Amino acid sequence: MIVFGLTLVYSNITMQLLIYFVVALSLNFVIGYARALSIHHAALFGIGAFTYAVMAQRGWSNDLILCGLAAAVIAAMVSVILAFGSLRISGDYFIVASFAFQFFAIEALFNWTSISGGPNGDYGLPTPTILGLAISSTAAYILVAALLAVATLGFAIWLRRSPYGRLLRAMGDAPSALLTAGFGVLRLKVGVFGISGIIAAVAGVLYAAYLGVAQTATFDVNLAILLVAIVVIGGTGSAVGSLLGAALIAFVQPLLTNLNLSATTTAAVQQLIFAALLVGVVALLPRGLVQLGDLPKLVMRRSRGGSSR
Amino acid sequence: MTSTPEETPILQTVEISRAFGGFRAVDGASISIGRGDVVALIGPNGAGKTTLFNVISRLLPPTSGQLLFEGADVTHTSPQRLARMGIGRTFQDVRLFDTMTAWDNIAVFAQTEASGTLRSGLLSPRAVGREAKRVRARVDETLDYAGLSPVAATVAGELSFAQQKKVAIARCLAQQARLMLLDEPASGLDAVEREDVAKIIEKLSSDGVTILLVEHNMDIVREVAHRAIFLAEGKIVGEDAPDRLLASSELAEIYFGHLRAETSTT
Repeated sequence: MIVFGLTLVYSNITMQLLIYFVVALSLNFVIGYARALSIHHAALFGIGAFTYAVMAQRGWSNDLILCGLAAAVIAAMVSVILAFGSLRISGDYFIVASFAFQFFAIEALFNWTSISGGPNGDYGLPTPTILGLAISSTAAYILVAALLAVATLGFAIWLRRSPYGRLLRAMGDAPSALLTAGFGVLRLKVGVFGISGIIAAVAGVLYAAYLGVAQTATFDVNLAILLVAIVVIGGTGSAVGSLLGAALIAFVQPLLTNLNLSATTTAAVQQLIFAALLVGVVALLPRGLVQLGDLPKLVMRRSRGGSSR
Repeated sequence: MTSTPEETPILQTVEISRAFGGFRAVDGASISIGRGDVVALIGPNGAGKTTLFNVISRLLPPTSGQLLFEGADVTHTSPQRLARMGIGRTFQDVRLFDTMTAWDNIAVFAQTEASGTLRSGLLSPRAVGREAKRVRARVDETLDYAGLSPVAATVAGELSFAQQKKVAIARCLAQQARLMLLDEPASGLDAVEREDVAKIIEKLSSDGVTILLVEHNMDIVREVAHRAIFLAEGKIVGEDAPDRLLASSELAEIYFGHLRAETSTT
């Protein structure tokens, strides 16, 4: 029984790690390349989860591919609208708009009880299938999540090396100079927002199918900020960084649960840990945890700079 | 090397204006640049030189007037299309892609329009490979031309200011611009670096590139420009060979009077 319990905990951690990695990495495309601090990623993730909840519960389909496609279409439409918004308003104003979208999207979903199930959420969701094969074992879920993670990582690697990725980085650095190179910014922005939203929504489908539950509270502003924190703590523009950030979240949560604290204390302690990490990383490792190897060098440089002054 | 009257000028602005609210930064400016010309746009700070550049590259739409490139009306053409048609420009504040290498900075300007679509990556691997090879050759050639090959792999934000300015010019070259708008290519450089930039401009000109430049350093203007246009308060107040234009006491008063006022306030 103990062995079974342990494997369950570990598979939960693995699943969390993979899903958070996929969602964080997709957010990193927007933050790291387009340099738009998008706060609404949790809402897109949630859109995917509720797409599965609605489709599976009403018996329309519990096929992960079909539900994934449906979620992708919805998330792409929402993302394109937000991409247009980010062209009209930039910088801090976009952050506020993105935050507002996150807040109102989840609030609207919460009140649309026929879709979201209100405060209780949609629960008892049927187990999913892929092309007729039932996904019933934890190993099968992990396999699907791993495939999604590999595909997302593959896209990230392609972005790093491709001419398209070069344009995205150029857009983040100096959009007006990119115009004088003959590239419109609109298409690039819509593209990267769209891809990012689609990946988050597909991850949401898998997440809801795995948990068998979809609740709006899961995808609220707290998660939205946590996702940004994962990206920033791990390292903006770095896939390895997103993996480190996701691992941190995936391991800290169960470790705290092991301490047998009350749920509210656990949440508070967790927030404290992330707040401390965020401050520490921003102060010591401006490029995120991926820079960890350079820490001694950075500290040396800092202390030398201090003594020379 | 000024253009003959029957030849279509490469660039023409007809009574072009740009207003910001009630302030007319460019006020009915008509200029005509012949193919192969090197023309300097001079005038005191705030005369509207950079605004005119922004209007010609269409980063700012003109409030009124007409813009012609190689005889075609481009008043309503988007900046990215204009760049594809053959107008390149640099910025006073350089605006390199700071996190990217010098090589990648130039590669962006050598890439085809199709590379700006996600579809481009899904084309046949052979087409992708061919295109990559073409870009590589163009970038290497451009770096060599501008004497930047040793810093090809350096991140642009870490280059010296003079090297950054050269990368900016090299980007226009990689895009095969027939008309280059250079905004203060020599400002902030020491005498040796200035001479270096002047040489590049002369080399570009002898290779048939038309150049319109904004420059405060009159030695550079005398050295490279065939003609100078004097702008003050958004209006064109003089146009002549640089030496003759600079000898005009009236314009010198506008220019240096302004400079005097400026230095006395700082």
